[in-house]
Amino acid sequence: MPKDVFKIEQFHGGLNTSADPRDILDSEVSDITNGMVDQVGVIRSFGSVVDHEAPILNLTGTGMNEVPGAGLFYFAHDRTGAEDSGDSEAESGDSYLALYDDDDAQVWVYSLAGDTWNDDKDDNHVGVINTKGKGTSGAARPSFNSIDGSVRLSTGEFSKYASGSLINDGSHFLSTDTTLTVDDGNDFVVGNYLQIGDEIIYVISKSTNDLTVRRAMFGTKAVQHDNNATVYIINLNQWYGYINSKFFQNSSGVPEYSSSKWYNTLQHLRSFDELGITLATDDSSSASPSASELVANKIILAYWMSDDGFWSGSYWLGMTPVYEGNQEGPISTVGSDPIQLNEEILNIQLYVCHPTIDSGTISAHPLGDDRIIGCNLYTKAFTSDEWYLLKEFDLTAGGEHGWNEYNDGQTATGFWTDGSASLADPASLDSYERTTAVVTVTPGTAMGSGRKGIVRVSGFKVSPIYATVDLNSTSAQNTTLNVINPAPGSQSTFVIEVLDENYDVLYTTQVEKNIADSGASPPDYVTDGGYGSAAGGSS
Amino acid sequence: MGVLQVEVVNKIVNKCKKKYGDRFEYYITGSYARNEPLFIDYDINIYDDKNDNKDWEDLLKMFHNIKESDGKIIDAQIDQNVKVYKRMSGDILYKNRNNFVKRYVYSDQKLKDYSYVKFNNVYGNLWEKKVKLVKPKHRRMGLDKVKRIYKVL
Repeated sequence: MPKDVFKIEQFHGGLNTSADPRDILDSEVSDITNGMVDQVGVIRSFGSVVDHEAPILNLTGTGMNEVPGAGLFYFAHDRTGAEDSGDSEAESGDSYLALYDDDDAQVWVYSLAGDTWNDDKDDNHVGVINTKGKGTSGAARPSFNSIDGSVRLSTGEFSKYASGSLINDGSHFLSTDTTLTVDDGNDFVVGNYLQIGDEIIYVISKSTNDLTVRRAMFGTKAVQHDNNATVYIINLNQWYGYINSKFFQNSSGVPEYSSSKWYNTLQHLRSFDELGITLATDDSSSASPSASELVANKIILAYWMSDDGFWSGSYWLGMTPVYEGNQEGPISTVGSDPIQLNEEILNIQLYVCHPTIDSGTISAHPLGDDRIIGCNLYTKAFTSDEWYLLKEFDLTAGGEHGWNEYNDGQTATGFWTDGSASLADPASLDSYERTTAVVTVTPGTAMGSGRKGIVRVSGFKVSPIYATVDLNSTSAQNTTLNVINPAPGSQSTFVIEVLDENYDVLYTTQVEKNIADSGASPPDYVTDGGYGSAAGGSS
Repeated sequence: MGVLQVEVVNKIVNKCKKKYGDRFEYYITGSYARNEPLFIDYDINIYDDKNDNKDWEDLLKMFHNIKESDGKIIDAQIDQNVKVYKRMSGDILYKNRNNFVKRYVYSDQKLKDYSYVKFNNVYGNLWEKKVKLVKPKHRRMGLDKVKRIYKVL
């Protein structure tokens, strides 16, 4: 029978990578993988395999179920304490490993500085990163990424998967129902997107096994679903990072809510609708929002109109949440009806309702996501699809633009009621005479501590003329104005307006004076123009 | 908060924000901000967080010779003291009414001094305008004793 002899040479000369075979000695190799040839006549593997201690397995006593080939991730952060989702952590910096545990769909985090693994916050078995509702044995293929220290975790489930719960409603889950009863509410969290049949549903809130939901999301159709239908969960990407913000600071910089903690939530930048925040308008022409309107999970846009504006027609208002990093969520329409204006100025005040009305501090972010640092106000004409940005509100602002606290005892505060204003006859009633005139303003009610208003008088030759008034005093306030009388006329009209700090009109009245003909010519002033032309020029 | 509806101004400001980011702050002030029924123009004051005038000519040029949708002039100036003036009460404003202040404007024509206003060319079409804090017209209107209003754009 044929025989072939394979001779293993000695290779203790080591690796020679020369391209020309004539340069390679008999004792050398041209290619070798994971092999050691340092001893004559011996070929052995590179290094050695030993048992690796995995202390994480001993932490819970039940071990963990890592996903081979996926789920291990390194990240670093200025803040310590990511391993147990700590509060008020130092900025001394730490490096972390994140390891997904498919046993409970939570993530273990290893701290290099602390040399410790953990997956619980405060030992209450709420995962520091918790792909909530995933359940056990989900066979997820988790993947991580990290931007600016915050970690994003995708379960790698780009399609639906069974939550473990079925519909538990003998009367069926009707197309108009907004409460979904399931076998086990623990399989779900607020913010989950569910799929039943072809319909996608959003979970607004949860009470044991009853989920308050928003139907027909993403263009799907609300239809009836049978009892025991499978409830699927979709899209569970998670965000885990450190929040350090002071919210609703007053002019002295004292916040109503502070957040300095590791924070885990759904990565999705949700709209106010999706966050379960009610957006309402309130006609505050004569009073601020009443006690019955001040409820948790609500933003109120109080509005009133002033004369002589450019708004004419019907307008919708819209709002978006602004998240950390100035990332903006989707827009939501405010209220159920557009606002009607007729050549008016639209004035708006924003009220963010707290869970505990009249409390100076709150224990949780009132808009449902600690990452929300602001909100933007938009408008669009009734028939238009295009939104225009009107105003950006910074929830973390303080100082000059600080927040004020409002409670239900202040519905009448700040309104001009039963006040008056008048203009006495000028000291001289001759035309074009330089003289003085006394304007008197009497607020009917004190409008708030520190409030300074303005009285504006129009009708004199130099017009209008301004003076400051105290809006928090109900005393008659006389101000002597230096004026130049207008042209002669038996019924010269003078308009007296009381304005608030934004120059919006609180009160207006007019009087007539008889201005006699003095024979004088109107005064001539050097043009107070802009920067080269006759017109323009700022204050 | 009075909601402003200055369509053209807002478009230009948005364009500036896209080009320069958050570097500049834009305020509307003057007779329009005071809600005067017979306002003359749209006075825009701009603050530069970097206080570096090399971009000011280009920035102001974006507002140059452009009118608002109602045909009224847009008058944009850079004023690095805006944040100080915003905080001044009427009393403080009155005490400082004679102080000379500098603003910066764009003009493609040579600007000559007149009355109390002095101009100096900085470079190209960027001009320094030196005026008193409260001009005579506004003193006659009593605005030297009234807190100024600056509405953020």
